[in-house]
Amino acid sequence: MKWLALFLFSAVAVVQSSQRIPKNWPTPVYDISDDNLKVEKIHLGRLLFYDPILSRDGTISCSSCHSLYNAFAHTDHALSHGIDDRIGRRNAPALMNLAWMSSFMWDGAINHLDMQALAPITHVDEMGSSLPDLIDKLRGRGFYRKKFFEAFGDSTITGQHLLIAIAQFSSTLISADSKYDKVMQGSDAFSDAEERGFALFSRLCADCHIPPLFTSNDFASNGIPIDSSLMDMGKMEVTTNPADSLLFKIPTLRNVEFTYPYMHDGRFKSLYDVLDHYNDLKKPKDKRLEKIQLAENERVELVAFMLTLTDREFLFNQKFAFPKELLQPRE
Amino acid sequence: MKHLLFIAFIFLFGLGNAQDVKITAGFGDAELKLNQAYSLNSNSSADSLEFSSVKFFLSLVADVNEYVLFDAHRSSISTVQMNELRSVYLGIDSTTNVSGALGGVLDPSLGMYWSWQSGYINAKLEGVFWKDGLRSEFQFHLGGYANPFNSFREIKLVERFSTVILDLAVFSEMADFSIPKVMRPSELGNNLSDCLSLSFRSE
Ligand code: HEC
Ligand code: HEC
Repeated sequence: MKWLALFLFSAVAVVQSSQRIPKNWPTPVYDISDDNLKVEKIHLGRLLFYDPILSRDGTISCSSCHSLYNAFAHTDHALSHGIDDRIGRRNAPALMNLAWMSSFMWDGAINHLDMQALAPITHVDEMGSSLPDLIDKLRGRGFYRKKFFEAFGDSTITGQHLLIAIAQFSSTLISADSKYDKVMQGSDAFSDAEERGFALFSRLCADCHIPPLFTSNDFASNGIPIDSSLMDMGKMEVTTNPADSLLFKIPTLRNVEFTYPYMHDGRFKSLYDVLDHYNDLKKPKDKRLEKIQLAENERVELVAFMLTLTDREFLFNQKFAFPKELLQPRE
Repeated sequence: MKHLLFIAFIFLFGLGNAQDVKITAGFGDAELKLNQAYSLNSNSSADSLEFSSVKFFLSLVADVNEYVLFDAHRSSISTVQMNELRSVYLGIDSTTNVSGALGGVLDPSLGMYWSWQSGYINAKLEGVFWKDGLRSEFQFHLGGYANPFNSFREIKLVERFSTVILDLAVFSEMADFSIPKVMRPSELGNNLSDCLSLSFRSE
């Protein structure tokens, strides 16, 4: 009897914790089980994500640079565009499947999803605020005191709770419902061109953009030359190790149809520009790039495959959208 | 009965080892005063200096670890009660550094966390110094939890002690003020962390 109870209990536990983890995906780095994630925390995180109160002058929210319709990338600007029209040094990456990532930013400067929001909140070119100032502002709002209480059982707003709420919302941005996923699960089929594109991709690109996440969480150089006006050294800026020079985080390619412009500095506008780059590489430092040779029809097929990574359920998911609650009059 | 004895033993033993540990900062034998000029030895890299801010983390390792954030602005002595204190470190260990957003003294809103790159600032020393009549500001923000720039340092302690004192006279004479802004994990930061950890004494 005891065993049966234990068995049932553990069966329930397994079902609960795997609810958010797509089938056949690896275990996430960030705990997205129901033991950790709470509806109220996720909701608070969503409010904060969309509220320009996070910036010094109330003009910029996270969604100013990360918009749902571009899989949370920033389409209008190659380099990020923040407070006082200041231009940053890098392209805002798409945000999805963050719970599977072991480090954040193009150079890996951030080591945990919780700590990620600190960077834009305090960056002079992004939101130009500081954590103590922001906490003071939020403490002055009855609306947020109530929301923090609902989420954490404590109406005293702290840096810890603020960061955890944003991270919990971010961790729910899971994209796993593209045509590619449906084909893998056997409920849809590739066209001939997509099928050939998939074979090309598996042979030429999947060493770095590894399915199902289409990244390996690792850093690499894909052969793009340094932009002499930005002088962005990538991972070496964090580690100061010359071996890390010009290595950038391998981005996921899910929803890549909408995450243009591409690369850490947004230098390419279309997927064809990206493929031209890979195709024209001469003597790349990274051996994994050497075999890339694409005929005209293969470029088309590869792009056809990449478009199967578009996940409309994700792009139009109302749970991720602007919360109307922010428009209502509030304290 | 045997169990009861055992529990009583643990209880007594445990109680016997609870101790108050005081943490403070001084300059030589005197208590530290912020914004007061101190002159240094002739072979130091500065002639005189004053501190405007002195903040540091200590990790007290015991059955239950404690983290203390000493801030000279707020209070000149921090007191913690410890059971079975085994060792004391300057700064925050690497596991804690990769554990996400934490609370209490480890809350990232207390100014001891870098924002552009994850990691705690183990110590912040700021102020002005004079060299050959020239006045300059210094800002030492020491931290880093990953090799090669790991600035977590054990502090050498005497056998029985109740107070841990950071002697800033020792630090000021050892430290190199010729590069007065150190704000990120680096070789210079490592050297200053060495100097700082060697400037603690216990009594
Ligand atoms: C001014 C534009 C801007 C704003 C505002 C902004 N971001 Fe970003 N975001 C960026 C840029 C640019 C990067 C890449 C920075 C880098 O690599 O150095 C980035 C990176 C990220 C990443 C890392 C993604 C990855 O794959 O490594 C996350 C997560 C993120 N932002 C979330 C947020 C959140 C949450 C907020 C609000 C608190 C926010 N951003 C506000 C521009 C912005
Ligand atoms: C050696 C590893 C590696 C291989 C192989 C590789 N890539 Fe990449 N890819 C990267 C890295 C690293 C970046 C980011 C580079 C940067 O911004 O500096 C990137 C960026 C991209 C981007 C831009 C994504 C965005 O959101 O900005 C696309 C699209 C892309 N790769 C497609 C491909 C395709 C298609 C192939 C195969 C033909 C391929 N990659 C092969 C490492 C690789």
